[in-house]
Amino acid sequence: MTTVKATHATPPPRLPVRDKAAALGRGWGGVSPMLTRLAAERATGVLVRERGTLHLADGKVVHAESPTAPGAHVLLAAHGTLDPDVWRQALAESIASTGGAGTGTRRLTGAEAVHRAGRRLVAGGLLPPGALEMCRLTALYDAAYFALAPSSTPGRFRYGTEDGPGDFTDPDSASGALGSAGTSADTSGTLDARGASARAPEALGTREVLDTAATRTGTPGPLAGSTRRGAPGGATDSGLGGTPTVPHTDPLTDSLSAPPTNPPTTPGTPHPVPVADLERETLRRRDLLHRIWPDALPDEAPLTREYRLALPLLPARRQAVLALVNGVRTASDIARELGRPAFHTLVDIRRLVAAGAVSPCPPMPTADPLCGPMSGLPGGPEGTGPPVDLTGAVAPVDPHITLLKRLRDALEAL
Amino acid sequence: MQGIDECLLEAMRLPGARGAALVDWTSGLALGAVGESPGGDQEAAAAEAAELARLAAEQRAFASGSSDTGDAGAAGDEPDPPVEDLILSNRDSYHVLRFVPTSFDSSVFLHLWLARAEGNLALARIRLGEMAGRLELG
Repeated sequence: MTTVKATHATPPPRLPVRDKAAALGRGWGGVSPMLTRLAAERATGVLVRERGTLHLADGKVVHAESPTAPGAHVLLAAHGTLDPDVWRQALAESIASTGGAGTGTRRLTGAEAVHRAGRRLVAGGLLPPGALEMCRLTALYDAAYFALAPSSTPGRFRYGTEDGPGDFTDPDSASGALGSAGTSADTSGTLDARGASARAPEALGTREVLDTAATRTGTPGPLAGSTRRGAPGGATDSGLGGTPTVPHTDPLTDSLSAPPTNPPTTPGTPHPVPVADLERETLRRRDLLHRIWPDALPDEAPLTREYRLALPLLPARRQAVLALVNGVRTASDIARELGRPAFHTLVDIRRLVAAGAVSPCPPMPTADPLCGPMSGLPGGPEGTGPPVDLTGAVAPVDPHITLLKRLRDALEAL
Repeated sequence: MQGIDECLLEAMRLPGARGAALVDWTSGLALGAVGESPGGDQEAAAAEAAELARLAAEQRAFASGSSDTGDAGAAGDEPDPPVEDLILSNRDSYHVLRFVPTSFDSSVFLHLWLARAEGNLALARIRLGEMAGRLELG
């Protein structure tokens, strides 16, 4: 691969071009060399990638989150398996009982809070363990699919124990980006948690606020929008800004949490997934989608219905997806509305596209905003402009990202 | 109180059981597997079984009779997997695919592989039905 790239007329100057990224951009090849390495060294911590995070314990994946994929509790709540209020209550209790936040040595991540709440519900007989397990595995693979999607930024790993004391040691000086990217993923959890803990005391009837935070992440609310929907920006901006945000405790949860007690060591995180399995499955899933319909555009673009065909009768599950296609929603939005795993929705969407029932909106409005102003730059040599120029043009965008995207576009256009 | 593994191990106690798996039929992912795998490759077996299950679950012809009037109602009240189970036999074994009615919106089935000589299909169907219920209802 390296040799092939080297033969191109315009080799990218002094940028660490990742061959894997090029391979991944086309959907094939390894998933994440970094993840493989981490698995080999049995690392524990959080891998933050452009489109999601993977939580590792002892080299295995114990949790995954992605802004694109609904979390396990969303899946459970959407169909009434779990009363959202019951869930909120459990979440609040799990946060409160963990305690320790006051000392500042311990911080409950969103993932942890969710895990604990789930265990609490099972212990209380409110949720069958089988359902929880199925749901969490489904959600893990689902989020991991997106987290492992080809990315334009390198992943970052933060060492530290997910369930242990919060002694995060940053492996390198780039911890600023890592820290804030980590918080951007974590705040989503904290956000839920905050809503939950704030809401739990005055209980039922006021579910809107949390629902918008927990399930509609992205569209409404400045808070949700800034934390989740800014996934690509989240990591990059912070990379530039370099505000060394050490994740610290949330005052709200502080005030609600019990006096610091030793966090109970979790008896074996349930179902850790070996990295190799996860990577293989992710590749298999890409392949599956590719076989259904080889264009990935509908995965992310807003979708519109096509009325020109007499449609064949659709299965009920796919009809439910089709009913939500309205020209604005993306596949991820639909997944949240339906409370289905995002990948499952992608499968349905691609089948609908293949059947001619749905098409992605033309990419004009969603076209890469980073590339817009760039292409207007006068006279610069294609794809080789120094990053310095670019920072002036688009201030909040990481120049490396911009350059890499332009390079990618140029290479694809060859 | 039964998790996935307990459920699959229980399935393996059925006479003639050679392998059992819990598979998601949209993605083809095995959420759990014990025993042998048909064809030797667990992931391939899961993906292939998932394809079969999906076809059965999505075809109108195999849905139960009551739902044929409710075509118009998209995402109505019809039972989530319209098919209950699927039995496939070959010269030396049975495959029983039992759809698990998940209360969260997923698409999961139990796949039991039975040796034909010792397997008892009727018993397996009944037990799988019970297990599917317990997985979801505790």
